[in-house]
Amino acid sequence: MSDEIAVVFDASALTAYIEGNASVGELMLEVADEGRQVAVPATCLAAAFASVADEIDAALLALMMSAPMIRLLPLDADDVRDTGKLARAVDGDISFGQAAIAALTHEAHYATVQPKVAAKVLPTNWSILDLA
Amino acid sequence: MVAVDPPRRARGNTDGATGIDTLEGMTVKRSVSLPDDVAEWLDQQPNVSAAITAAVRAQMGGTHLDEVLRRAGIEVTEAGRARWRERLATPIPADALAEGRRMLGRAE
Repeated sequence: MSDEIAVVFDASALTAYIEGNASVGELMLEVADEGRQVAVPATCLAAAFASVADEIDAALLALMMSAPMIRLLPLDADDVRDTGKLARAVDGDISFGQAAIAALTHEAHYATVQPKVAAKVLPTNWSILDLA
Repeated sequence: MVAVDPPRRARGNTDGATGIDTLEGMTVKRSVSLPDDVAEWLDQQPNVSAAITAAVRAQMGGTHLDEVLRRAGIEVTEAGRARWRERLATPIPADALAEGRRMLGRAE
C-alpha cells in the first residue's frame, strides 16, 4: 500500500459508516483496491466520537479506524490558523476546516454527506464525493 | 508441489538465513507447501521473505476490511464500487488545484 491519500473523510462520513451507509464501504473498498489511503483528520474523528449515540457506536468507530487503508491526520501547528480561518465559513466547525486543509494539502477528494456545507470550505469545482 | 518441512521457530541462530531474517520483527520461520508456479515466482524475487510478507499482509488487510464493513451492516454493490472507481480516476480540475494552493499560501 502506498502512502498516497486518495480521499479525506469528514466527520459526517465517519457517522455515515456507523449508520451502515453502503457508499462509505464501497468507497473504502475502492481506495484499498487501488493501494491508496483514506485520511481521517483528528478533529473529524473527535467530532464523530462526540456525536455517537452510545459506546457501541464508539467501538464501531474505533474498529473503522483500524482498517488498513485509514490514516489518522493530526492537526499540525502549521495548519491551525488556516483551519480556523476556513471554519469561519461554517459557523466555526473546525472539523470542516481541517478536512478541507487535508484535502487541499494532499490534493485529495473530499467525501461527505454534507456536500453543500463542504463546498463552503473548498475551492470552486473541488472534487466532493457525495455519500448521501 | 514443493516438498516442505514442519514449522519451526528461529531461536536466535540465523546461520544461513536470508537478508530479511536480520531485519527487526522478522524472527519467525515457516516452511510451506507451494504450487510450482508460485515457487518459480518466489525464486525470482530478490527477497523471498519480504515478498511473502507483503502478499500475506495484503490478504490480511482485505480480510480485516471485510470485517470492518460487516460489523457496520454495510453491504456493498458492484455498481456502487464502479461509481467510485470512476470518480477516483477523475482528476481534480486544474483551476481548483490552483485555487487550493493559493489558499494554502503555496501559489505557483
